[in-house]
Amino acid sequence: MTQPLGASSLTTSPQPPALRGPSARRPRRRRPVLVALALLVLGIAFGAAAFGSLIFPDAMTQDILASQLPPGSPGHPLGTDELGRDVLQMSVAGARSALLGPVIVALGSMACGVVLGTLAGYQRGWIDFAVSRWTDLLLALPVLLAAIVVSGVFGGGYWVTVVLLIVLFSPSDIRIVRAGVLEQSARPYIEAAQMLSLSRWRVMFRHILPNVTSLVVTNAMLNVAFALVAFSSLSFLGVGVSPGIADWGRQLTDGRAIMFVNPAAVFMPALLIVVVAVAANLVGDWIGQRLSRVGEDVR
Amino acid sequence: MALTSTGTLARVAVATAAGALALAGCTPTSESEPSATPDVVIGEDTGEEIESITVALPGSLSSLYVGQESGILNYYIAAVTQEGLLSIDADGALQPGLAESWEQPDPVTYVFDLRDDAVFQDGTPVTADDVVFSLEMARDETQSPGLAYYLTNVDTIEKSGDAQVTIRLLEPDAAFAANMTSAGAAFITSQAFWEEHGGDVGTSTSLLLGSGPYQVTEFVPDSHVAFERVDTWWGELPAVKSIRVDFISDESTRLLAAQSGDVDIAFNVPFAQAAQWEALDDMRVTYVNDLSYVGLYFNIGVAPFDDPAVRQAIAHAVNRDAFVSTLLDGHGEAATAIMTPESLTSVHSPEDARALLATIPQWEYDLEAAKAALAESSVPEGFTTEILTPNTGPQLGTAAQALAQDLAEVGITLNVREVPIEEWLASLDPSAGYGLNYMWYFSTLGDPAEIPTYLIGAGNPAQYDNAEVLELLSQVGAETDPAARIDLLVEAETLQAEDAINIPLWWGQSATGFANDLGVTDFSPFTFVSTWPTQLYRAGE
Amino acid sequence: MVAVRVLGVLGVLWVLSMVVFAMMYLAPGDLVKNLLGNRPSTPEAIAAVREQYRLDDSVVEQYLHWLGGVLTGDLGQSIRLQVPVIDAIGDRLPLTAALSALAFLIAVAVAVPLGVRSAVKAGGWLDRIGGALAVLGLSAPTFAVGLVLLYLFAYYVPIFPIYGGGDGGLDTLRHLVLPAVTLALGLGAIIVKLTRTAMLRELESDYVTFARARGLSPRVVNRLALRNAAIPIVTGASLVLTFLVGGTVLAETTFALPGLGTLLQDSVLFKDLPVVQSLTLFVAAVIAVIALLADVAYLLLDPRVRRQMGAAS
Repeated sequence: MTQPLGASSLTTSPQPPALRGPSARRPRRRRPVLVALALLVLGIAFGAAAFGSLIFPDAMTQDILASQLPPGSPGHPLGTDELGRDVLQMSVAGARSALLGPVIVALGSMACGVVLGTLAGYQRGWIDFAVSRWTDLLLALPVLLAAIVVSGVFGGGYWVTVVLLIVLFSPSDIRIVRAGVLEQSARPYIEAAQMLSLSRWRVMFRHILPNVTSLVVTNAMLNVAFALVAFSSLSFLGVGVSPGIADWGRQLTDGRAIMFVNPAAVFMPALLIVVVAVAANLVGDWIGQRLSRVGEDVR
Repeated sequence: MALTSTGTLARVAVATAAGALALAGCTPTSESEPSATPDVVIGEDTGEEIESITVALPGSLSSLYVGQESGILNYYIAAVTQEGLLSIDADGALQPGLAESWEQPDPVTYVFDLRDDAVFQDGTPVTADDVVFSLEMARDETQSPGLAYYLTNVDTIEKSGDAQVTIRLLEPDAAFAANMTSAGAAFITSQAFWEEHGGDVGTSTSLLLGSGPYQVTEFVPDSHVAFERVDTWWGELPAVKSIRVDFISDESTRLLAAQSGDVDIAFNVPFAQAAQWEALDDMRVTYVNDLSYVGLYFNIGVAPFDDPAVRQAIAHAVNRDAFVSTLLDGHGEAATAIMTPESLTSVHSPEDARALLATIPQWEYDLEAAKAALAESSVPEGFTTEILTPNTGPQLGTAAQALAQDLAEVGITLNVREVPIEEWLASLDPSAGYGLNYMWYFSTLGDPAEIPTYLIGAGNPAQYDNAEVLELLSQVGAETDPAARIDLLVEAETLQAEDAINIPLWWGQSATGFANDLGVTDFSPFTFVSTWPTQLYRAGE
Repeated sequence: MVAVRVLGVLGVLWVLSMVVFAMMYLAPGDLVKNLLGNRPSTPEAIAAVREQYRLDDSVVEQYLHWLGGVLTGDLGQSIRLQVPVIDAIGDRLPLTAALSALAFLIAVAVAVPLGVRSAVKAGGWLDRIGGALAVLGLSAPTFAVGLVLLYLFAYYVPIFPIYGGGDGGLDTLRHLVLPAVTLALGLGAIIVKLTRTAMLRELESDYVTFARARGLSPRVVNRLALRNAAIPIVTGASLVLTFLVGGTVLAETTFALPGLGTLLQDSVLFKDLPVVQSLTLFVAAVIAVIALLADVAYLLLDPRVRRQMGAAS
């Protein structure tokens, strides 16, 4: 019944010390400067998400029957969009909608993954069977296609998309945690813990879980990036965020219509999505390495 | 007659509204003549043959047979290969088609004499039996769900001579003859062909057989449909030899395809992109009134829209002049009625038609009056409601957002939700429970009664049940004098306007992109529902 | 073992068919309205259409009718396209398969060597470029990449056709280049990461250290490590496949290709249930089969898991 899992190979796996080469040879993957930059980008982005509405309270209620202006117009450094709204203001105001959803998706699917993955990996038996079939089912659903159908059923909208993505993203978390737990539970220290007749729950959450934390946190960061991209793809397919809401994905989709009149209306949100997703990816990888090292030190 | 598409048209929301420094309240254009990009001069007809042209459609067709899928683009494409008994000329007047003449011996009887030189593209002659069969199939709800409605008033269709078909109606209908065109419900095909394919015509395997100047050679849904010129047509041999229609659902892709010179004709260019199409070196954009109507209507079975004061408050918040001048970039006309001015041109001059329609009472854009009306209503504190906009009509979405801003000032919160065209269609059903709705309707016939009958007649989507209006509309059906019909319709529209049921927004235009070396004669609102490829010519420098 | 898995897969497909059926049943939109269009309609017309498509039956009856058809080998008729479902899918399958295969090929051809080199020379310039590309590939929305490519190839380097599926053979291949590259970017990013991680892991393991100590040439050592690293790379296939299936809708829409992705999307919106049912099950079955093969390979290849399986059962 074992599910092997490729998904776990995506990220840095925790290495038992015995299997590792001399630590001197372990390459440092990411330049700290790069990571610092990525953290800065995320900081600014989340700052905009938190306080953007204070800086530009009127981003979405501008005089929307005004004209389309190219970048560099007076008062509109990035020009205006197809409704005459300022692109810069919308980009700042759009951070909240663009980031909040992905973060909730990542946290939600992480929670699902930890609970179900640990149960399945450690308890085995029917729970494992049920959870594994459940992940099979979800993995057999292409995310975008499922989203189109489900958005239809529940009338679409932002929060429907959030819940949907949590459900659809959770299999990767479940599998990662489960695979990690499987790997860990075959280790001698777990056998030792069992011999000390510690309770199963205690073994599960106190001893196994910390060893898969790095994977889970890394995956959560990657999920933020994935969800950011998925939200914009859904807007592109016409089932994402409704018009009239400041959101990068929506801006990107709408801005394509006037890409020759005001290229900034499409490239600005595209750039923001890509840059933030890159930053989330970098930070995710970095956290993964840090935590796996910390974990070893503690152990 | 039909909506942009019930199928797969441009499902992607391409954004909106063209800009331009239009001042609110400036007069919208009112000419019914097509207007092209001003600085482009198209050369004379060189008489050259044109090897092939590529037409780019903003979405796919799923069937070539209009009875199966009856979006406006289906009509455009079917007209390439199929003909009706009659045809519509540039002025909207009926002309001979497969029938070389027709007469109406009494109000319910129509006799069509078929021309003797009409031949299907497979070489077999068009017989009276084929015509009767095609029309019988068109009135069958399961064979032709998209056409059956227009023939519900038909009692019998009979072959009354070797080359003569007689149609009897249940009740007189002055507008019936127009249904016998390829802008209506007459798509004449061969009985043998239909039966050979068990009725599944218009599909990728059966294709479609007609008597027009072009034969379908290939149809791949979501990809393309190809036509070849045939020499069996009774008319003059057209200049274009082969036509390939490509379905490009993403508007950015379509624009880039035109940029790289791959496109000769682009149907329904979105206004938001019109300026970019006009800027292309070898394309021009031509605008023509497309007989479409866009308006709001209230489902009065849904609270609080049962309250006239609420409806008036919203009606006063509609800034239709600004919608037209800014969102449509002037390519449309603020509507004063449900009927389009073009539908009156058989009787009135364009100016008179507009003057007549302007006599119908209007709710002026006046936010103070809107607030006053709301204060008088059952919900003086305001309320929240939702409107669905179809994703194939981005200009409807932007207009709704603009309306939402004005309504916010009045105290009404309007949430705008963009949905796939199919979901929007379903929401038009009164039982869907949406109080404030869009109506977006393309007429192909230009019959003045067509849209009012739908919107305020029996079983209308607003659940508006005004006995006086219904009585007027039944008189319209019986009245044979066109001028008198129009007067009755104006009367009915006046009643509904006073009740603020339908709030007309604009009469639409469509923008068509043409390559500069491609000329088109007599371009009119009716061009694309006739055998339009015959009007194309190679333009000189 | 495998038999149980096959039964499991069949069970999953069965549940999926019910879930999809139920969702389509509940989804907003109305088949009758889609067929009749935006116009007045008579009650008789509505009744006739409802009768024709069995819309008045209960949802359970409708489902059983569909299931009965499938079990007897009849997938039904597409309501939207009016052709048998098997044809509707069969007509588009080659294009989507070719697109996916080409994208996969490009991704593997570039990403595996890049991943291996990145791991062998970890921290080197190639590693950094590879890493940057991988992160970028994961971070850029597919349709945005497609748009950028379209823009480039429409304006500056007009060597590839920018839309449509071509006329078969080499022409189709030419038409598929841009969409395949678009998809390959995201796909390649995943594979680079997979390969690099797996290789790093092998290169740090004791047997590699030992092999190096014995003086085997780096070439031989790397080949040895790659052989072992192949296991996790191969098992990543199911993940990659789902990514590909989702991505094809975006690429097909952007490049106006008549493939399965657009077919599914259109059919869902039109409520063309027979097509949606068959297609979702087909896609799910393909993914499940690949996952099954990957699992079997994993079981056969990894002695540790095999041993543990033996102990557990």
